[in-house]
Amino acid sequence: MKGKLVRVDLGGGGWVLEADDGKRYQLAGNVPKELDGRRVEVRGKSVESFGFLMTGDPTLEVERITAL
Amino acid sequence: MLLSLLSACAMEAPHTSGALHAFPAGPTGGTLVVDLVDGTSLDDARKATGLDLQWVAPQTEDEALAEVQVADLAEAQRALASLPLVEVAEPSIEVEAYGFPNDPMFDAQWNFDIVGAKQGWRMGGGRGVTVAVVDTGVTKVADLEGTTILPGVSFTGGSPDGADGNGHGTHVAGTIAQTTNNALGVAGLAPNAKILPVKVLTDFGIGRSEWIAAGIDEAVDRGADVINLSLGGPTSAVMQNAVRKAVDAGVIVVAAAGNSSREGVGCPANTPGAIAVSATGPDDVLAFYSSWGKEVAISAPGGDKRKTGGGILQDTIEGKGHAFKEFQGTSMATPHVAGAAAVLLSAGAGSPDEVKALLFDGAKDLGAPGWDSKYGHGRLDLGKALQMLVVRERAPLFGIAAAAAFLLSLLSGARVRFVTLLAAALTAGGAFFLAWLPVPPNAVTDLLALPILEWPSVLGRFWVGFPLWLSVVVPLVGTFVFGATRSLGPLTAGMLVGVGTHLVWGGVTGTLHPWGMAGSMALGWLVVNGVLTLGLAVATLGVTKLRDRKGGAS
Repeated sequence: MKGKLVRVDLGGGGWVLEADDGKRYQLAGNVPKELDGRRVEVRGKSVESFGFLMTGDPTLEVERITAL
Repeated sequence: MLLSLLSACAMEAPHTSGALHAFPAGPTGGTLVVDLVDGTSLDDARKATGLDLQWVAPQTEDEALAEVQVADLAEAQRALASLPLVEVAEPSIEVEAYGFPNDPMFDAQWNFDIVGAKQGWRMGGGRGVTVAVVDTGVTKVADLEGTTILPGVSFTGGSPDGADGNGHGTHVAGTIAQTTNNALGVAGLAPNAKILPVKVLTDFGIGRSEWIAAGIDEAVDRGADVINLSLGGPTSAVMQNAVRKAVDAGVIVVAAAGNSSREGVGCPANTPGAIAVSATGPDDVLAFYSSWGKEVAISAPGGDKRKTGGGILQDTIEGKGHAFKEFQGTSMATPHVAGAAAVLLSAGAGSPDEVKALLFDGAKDLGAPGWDSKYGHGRLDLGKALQMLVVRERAPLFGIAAAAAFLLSLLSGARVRFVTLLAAALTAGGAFFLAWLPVPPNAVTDLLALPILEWPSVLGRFWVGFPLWLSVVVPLVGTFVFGATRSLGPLTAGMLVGVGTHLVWGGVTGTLHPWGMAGSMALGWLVVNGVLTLGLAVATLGVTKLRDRKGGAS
């Protein structure tokens, strides 16, 4: 899935992918800070999960993330 | 050059410090006090520092004590520390008449000011109450050193003791019970409460529904009185069931409404019985990120970092050390309500329903009049809730017990003594007015401010409702030991009237809850024991009457 990686300043902070399909996904897993604001491709699976971000968007468990 | 460096410093930079050093400055600018080497002139000092230093007062020229307004206190202090002309530089600390709290960054906690934290510190501050922080874990950072943190538990497979690898849970725990009046950093809303760390979110801040459900169950099993859930996600029946069981077990469950900026409260906050919390900013308007909806029960400060100093400032982990950081979110609003619930319990609120009633009735109505889906019953106001507790329970008990002592003295033919009336009133209502005395909050006034029947609460909420304490047993012993003595008889009689009146009142109003009893059984236990205690009071007053007569005849 491709889109823009955005750092969200809620609670302790977290990552959201503004995907090209127009949807937003909370990202679970290790995301390198230097990718903040960049277009990325995320490989992972959609999971039902909970957290402190609470943006109301579905969660994507990150397996691999690469800058485009 | 130094001045331009200072003014260029980002105001919202995290306020890091080494773990061993008291953190010196607030998140914004302020007055920096600079103690110069004796004999230094103002001109030399200004040249060396590049700052427009002034003597604190004309008399301080001898001691070379100067001050200056700076944009970033922490940065200025760091920069000045290395100059040979400067002996010491530290931010000016505003000291109250009785010096409480002395936490140097407390002035930046606008959120505690508007919710009435100061009244809370004077009425128990959460003493004897356990608050479970079901979150990313809790780490004992420098400004939690004086806080009781119980052994933690983890369901994420990470650190087994519930330590925090993210910072969110530690920040949340800080809002509830940051060590207060320790001359370091910031304050907490219920600093005497015990924190139970339950790690259900990984260090990335993500968790599974079953971990959270298990964490809630575990918190109940470990004796939590309040559970803080600064987390959420899609609706989960397993999690809702765990919340329901906790609520049925008499635990107060507080949960974040969510950060979706739209209508729709997340789970577990959408579970009936949980207290769903939306977030407000420093301007008392719903925060831009906050969710809202029909389940929202109350709102509380969650911060708004778009405004300078508008976040919620607490101590949390930073690398291997700690830092005072501003966070924002309904995650930050939730622990305000959890901390307030802890304070209300320690101040003598007898049940979760009573705590909820006080929280909701005391809240400042915002938005549409009455309850609305954005602010619920309004924005948290702990100070008002505590006032209501006093007006609804303590003051009536205080008056009724004094009146009962007056009547029973007349009926038994004893002289009406002031000491008897006062003892009855203080025993039943507690010396609640001690909360307004200009002395620092402390364990002694916390205890004396409570009715005697609620004293076991300082040992832990477990002991509240211990049936033998809510009975005629202790009064009986007291009567035999002191009742017939000349000096303590009238005082004992008053205390007996106080206990008896409180037992009967507690039964009739349903505000006392002896263990394992409900409905008519609790009513029967309390009224029978109350009447027996009042009987002992009459007997004791009878003895004082005989002494009065004897005294009168001699």
